[in-house]
Amino acid sequence: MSAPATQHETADETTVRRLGVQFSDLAKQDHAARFGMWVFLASELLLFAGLFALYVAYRIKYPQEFADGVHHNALALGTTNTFVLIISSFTIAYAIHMLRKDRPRVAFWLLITTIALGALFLVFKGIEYSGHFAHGIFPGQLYAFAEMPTDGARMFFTLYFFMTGLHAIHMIVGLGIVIWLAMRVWKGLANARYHTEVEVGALYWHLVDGIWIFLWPLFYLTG
Amino acid sequence: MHEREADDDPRHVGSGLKYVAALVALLLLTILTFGLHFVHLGVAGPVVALVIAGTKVAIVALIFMELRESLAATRMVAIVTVAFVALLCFGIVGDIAWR
Repeated sequence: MSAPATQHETADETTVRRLGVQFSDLAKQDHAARFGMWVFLASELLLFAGLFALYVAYRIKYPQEFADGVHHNALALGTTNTFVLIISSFTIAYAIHMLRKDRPRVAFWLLITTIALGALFLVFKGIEYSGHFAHGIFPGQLYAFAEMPTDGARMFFTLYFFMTGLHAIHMIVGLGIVIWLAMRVWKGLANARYHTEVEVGALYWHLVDGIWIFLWPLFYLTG
Repeated sequence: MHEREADDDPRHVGSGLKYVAALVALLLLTILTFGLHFVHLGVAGPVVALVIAGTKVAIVALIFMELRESLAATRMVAIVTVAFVALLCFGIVGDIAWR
């Protein structure tokens, strides 16, 4: 087990405490961590790819119903959430930059800002979902929207709930990770000398942002 | 292996301007996408929106995710994944369009 970090730890002590037995040095260990995370992100992207492929197939089959469904979604909330997530990607990237600059307090508050923006995204998504539920818009067999009673509309909103819901689950997981990272920065466990876990956690957050960048035009703009 | 060799020394870290520039570019592209939503482009509309989305994701990957400075093996993972996703989506479009 690794010993707890101290604020005045030397570079050699950091290496001894962090280095896994299977690695010859910290640089190789860090490369492996980043590479491993990218492979994980690739698998996540392929999970979403199946849903994107379904969207493409059903959009070609039901072009008018999908266009009508897009017009029915809350454009203002979806667009606001796009700005919220893009800014959150910047704040977490800049937090890493501040850690490298040996300014952990600034990095901590940037991570807190990221958490706040992520929470705001989920609040807006919740408001949007509740608006849909009030109109009888549910996924699958529960769909009961009288204004758009067609199979194509039901498929559009089923995909909408699946894709945005899966994305929201990723947001919640990402929030948990960023909260944990903020705690580590606050305690000095992630610092200017060693912050690989913050880099790897941020990669996950950026993936969640990247997926939303595609979901936004598909479900809010391309009507 | 040259991936951020200077990480250990805060004096060697850049100014951070690239992150601000990336943010500005992302916000401008988002505003552009939103503005184009009100212009009738016909069937080209979704294509244009998705091309802009792809550009935004490339900025996020290259700057925020630091793919530009990553090892070749890491870049290869990203490229192959995007290629597979594109193959899946274009394959479906082709299949349905020429069925």
